[in-house]
Amino acid sequence: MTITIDDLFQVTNIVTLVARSLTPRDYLCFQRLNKSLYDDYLQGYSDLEYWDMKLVSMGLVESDAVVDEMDSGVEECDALTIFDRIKGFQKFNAKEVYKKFHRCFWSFIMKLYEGDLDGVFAAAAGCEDPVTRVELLRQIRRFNRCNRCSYELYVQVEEHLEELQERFLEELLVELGGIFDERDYKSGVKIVDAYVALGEQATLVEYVKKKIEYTESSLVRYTGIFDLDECQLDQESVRTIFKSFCSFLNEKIEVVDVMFADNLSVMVPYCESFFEEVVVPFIAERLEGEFVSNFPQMRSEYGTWNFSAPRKYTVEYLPDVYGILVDVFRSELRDSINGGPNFVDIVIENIHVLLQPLIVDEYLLKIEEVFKTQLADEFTHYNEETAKKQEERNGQIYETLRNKIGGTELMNEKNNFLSSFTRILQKKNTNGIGSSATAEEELKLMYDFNKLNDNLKNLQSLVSVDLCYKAIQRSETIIADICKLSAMRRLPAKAPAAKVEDLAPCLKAACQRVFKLLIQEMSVRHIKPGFEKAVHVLQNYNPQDINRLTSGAAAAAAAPTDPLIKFIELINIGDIILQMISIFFRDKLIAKKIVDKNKDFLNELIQTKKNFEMMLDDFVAEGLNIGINKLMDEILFVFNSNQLPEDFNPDPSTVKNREIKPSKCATMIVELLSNHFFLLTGATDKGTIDVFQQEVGERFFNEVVKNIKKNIISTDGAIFLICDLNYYYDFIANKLKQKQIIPLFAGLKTVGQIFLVSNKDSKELGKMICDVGKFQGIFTQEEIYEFVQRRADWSRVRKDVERVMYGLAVSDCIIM
Amino acid sequence: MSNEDYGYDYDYLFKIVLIGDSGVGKSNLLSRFTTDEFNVNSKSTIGVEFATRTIEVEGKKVKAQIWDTAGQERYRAITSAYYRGAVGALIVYDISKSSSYENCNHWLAELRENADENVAVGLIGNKSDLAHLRAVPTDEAKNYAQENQMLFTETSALNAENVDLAFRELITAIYQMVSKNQVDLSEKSGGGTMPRGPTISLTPASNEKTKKSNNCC
Repeated sequence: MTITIDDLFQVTNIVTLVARSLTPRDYLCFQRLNKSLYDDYLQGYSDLEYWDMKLVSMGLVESDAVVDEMDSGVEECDALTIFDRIKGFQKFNAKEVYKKFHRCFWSFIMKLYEGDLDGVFAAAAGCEDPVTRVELLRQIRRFNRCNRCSYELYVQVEEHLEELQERFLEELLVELGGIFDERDYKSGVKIVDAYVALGEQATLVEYVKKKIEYTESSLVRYTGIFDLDECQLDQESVRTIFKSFCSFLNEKIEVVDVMFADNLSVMVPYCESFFEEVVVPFIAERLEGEFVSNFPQMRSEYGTWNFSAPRKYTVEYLPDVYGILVDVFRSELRDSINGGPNFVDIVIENIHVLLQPLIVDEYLLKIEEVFKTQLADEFTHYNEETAKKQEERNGQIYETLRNKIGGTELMNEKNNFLSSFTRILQKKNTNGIGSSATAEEELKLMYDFNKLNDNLKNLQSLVSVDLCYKAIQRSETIIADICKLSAMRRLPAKAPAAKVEDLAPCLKAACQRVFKLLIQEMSVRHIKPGFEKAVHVLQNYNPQDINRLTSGAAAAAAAPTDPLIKFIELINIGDIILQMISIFFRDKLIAKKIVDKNKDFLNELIQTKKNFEMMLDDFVAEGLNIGINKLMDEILFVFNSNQLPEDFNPDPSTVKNREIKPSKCATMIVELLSNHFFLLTGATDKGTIDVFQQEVGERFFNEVVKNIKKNIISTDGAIFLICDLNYYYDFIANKLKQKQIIPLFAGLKTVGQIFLVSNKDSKELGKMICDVGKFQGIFTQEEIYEFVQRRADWSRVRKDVERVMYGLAVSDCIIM
Repeated sequence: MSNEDYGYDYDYLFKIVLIGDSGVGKSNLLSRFTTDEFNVNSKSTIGVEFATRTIEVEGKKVKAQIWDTAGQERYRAITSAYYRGAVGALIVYDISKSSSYENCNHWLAELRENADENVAVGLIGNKSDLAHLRAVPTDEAKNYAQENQMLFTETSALNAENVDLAFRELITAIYQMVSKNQVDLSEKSGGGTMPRGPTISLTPASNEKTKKSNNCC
């Protein structure tokens, strides 16, 4: 079966669908085509639907509430105004309403459909103004929406409309060019408005940017910003260049403000690209590379890449350049209506964001590298110099000694030397080696001795406060420089600062790395080797060697243990450095919030600082321990060499002539002690001092006990022992004032009494020994028993003493 | 300086002991006399302390070697060791504390028992600055001293009153006894000592005497 058109038209839907795709003119023809078709499908409601659909697709509202405006002068409507006048319609009236619109727009639609683009604006009376033309195009486009059902018509019109608009915009730009050429910026306002009306701002802004573009050469007359001979930034030329950038922008601000007012954001994006394409590349280019030609020369001139040497990389001047840039723009950039109230801040913020890669990828890396090199160079150089000086001095000592031996010196000096030389010889003889010793060997011995002495003298030069101070100062400058780069954020929170937020932690981290570098390099390259050497010298020091070689053993023994004194000076130096670092940490890193003490307590930096402190503490403890050992060695040496047997066991015939006063040995020992006890005062904390003093005091007490047990004490000699013990007590109780150890020496005082008791009172002596409370509770009965055995008359009193102590004497025992 | 260096700076050396109850002010009397110091916080003496001072008596340099003993010493053996060789003694009591005065009898007895029979003794009523708290009348003590052939002075170590005087009187008395050969300077007593050197030529008599008495024993 074949289906005819007639058959198809039997179906309502098909008829109405066909009808809706027709243009009004064709639709009206279609209505008249067939009476029954008309009656069945194309009149009444269906017809209303057709017109209704057209109006609705143009955006009109179908509503009963719409007041019929048909009679009130609608005839005067034209394409520009009709959409403003008629916003809605009533359904029964749809066809009439459509007619009004059709009358206004159809001729434009036909011109566009036929491609007569020039005719469009020509047909519209009073439509010379660009904004009006934009409006006309807009209204035509709106009307054309009702042609969507007639697809071919609709597309054709749209395409030509587009073409027309483009052509129109091009014409506008040509006109704008003329305006720029004639600097008649006020006339540009209407073109700007037209663009805004079309929503084509981006094109316009691009065009304006191109139009107000500059060439770098026209702005930058000075290409160099450095004084290359001095490796210094030429601040004035930098300022001049930035001022020229700024005044260029100021001109543009003026133009943009006239043309755009606050209509369209032109100035901010313009500035952005200006900085991105001109200013930042300019800075980056200038701050690229090193002061290459000068670097090797400088290095040889200064001997080292030291803290005060000129800078190596140009980028090290970034904070200065940045500072000048911000300073110039803050003071010279004019306000802009177009840029808005925060214009200057936004611009500066923008500079900051744009410089970020330069800061992070160049500046921070280079500055750390340079600082690390400087620290390494400075500390290594110092160590080398110190070693060299030491070597030179050692050489001098040798020369001097050799010259003296050669008899070139004055006679008495030679004699002085020879007398000590003789002492060495004697000493060596007693050791059984000396007889065959040649003069060369003796010279070697003297040389070693003098060298050691000199090493001691220079112990404190192993660590230099001055150098550490300079290193700290340098790191302070660097951190201050880094902070300069972050101190610019004065924008209110609403400003687009998201990108900048990322930089602050980055700068903080850089500051922390600088501080860490300082501490690490300082401790590894300077403090640690210094203290290690000092501990080594201290360890190898033998007081007997010195005493053996110096004239006057008494003078030597009384003189402080040299290495300990030097070491304590070193502790003092260490403490000063530690305090400098603590102050720096507190005043710079904590105060500037580079480190948050509460939040960052696990921070690596705080850990590094703690490790540094611990290292110093360990050295102090180790050194003091060695020092105390050496001091005790010396005390022992003085006891051994100066406590004469007659001191406490005198010849009865001489005892009357002896004044009761401390022995020479005791005075030497107290002098030795007092020279050492107070060394630490001021050098370190009180806790350490107390521990040191108590330790020395306790060990000294033990030495005194041993000394008593080494001597034989007669009743006549007891008083001299008591006098020595009183002397020690007096020193400990009244000079040292370490309360904890006073009882030890009070106990010693009472011990002296057991030697004073006459042998006639041997039984009471036994009772005294049993009376432990008598000795201040310091000694046990066994210890007292050991003491009493040192009585010169022990064999005579022993029996009685033991009988009291044990109920019977050992001699009473009989083996059964 | 060594012992020998001091060998020539005095003509006589006298051992003097300070005895008396604990707390009567012996140590402060000593420090006042030898160094002109007074220690408000002085603690009780442990064992025995020594101090010396040289004064001139009749043109001779007399060095007083003064033993300051612990007042609370419980062992007779120790106290007797203190007294050994002493040629002078000061028994000290506190005028504001009658028990310390009453104990003087005990101290005197102990002294007589242990020291040389010719030992010169002075009775000292110390703390005379505490007159408002006086518990021991001056006259009574003075009479007691006379009865027992003791010198008597009331002193104040605190304000230095009569301290020098008391020591000087005792030292002078010893000197006079020594110079009249009343004190046996033999080794047995071991007290007043003649140094070697120039002293021998200056006072040959006393030196001879020493030797003589030495022979006697």
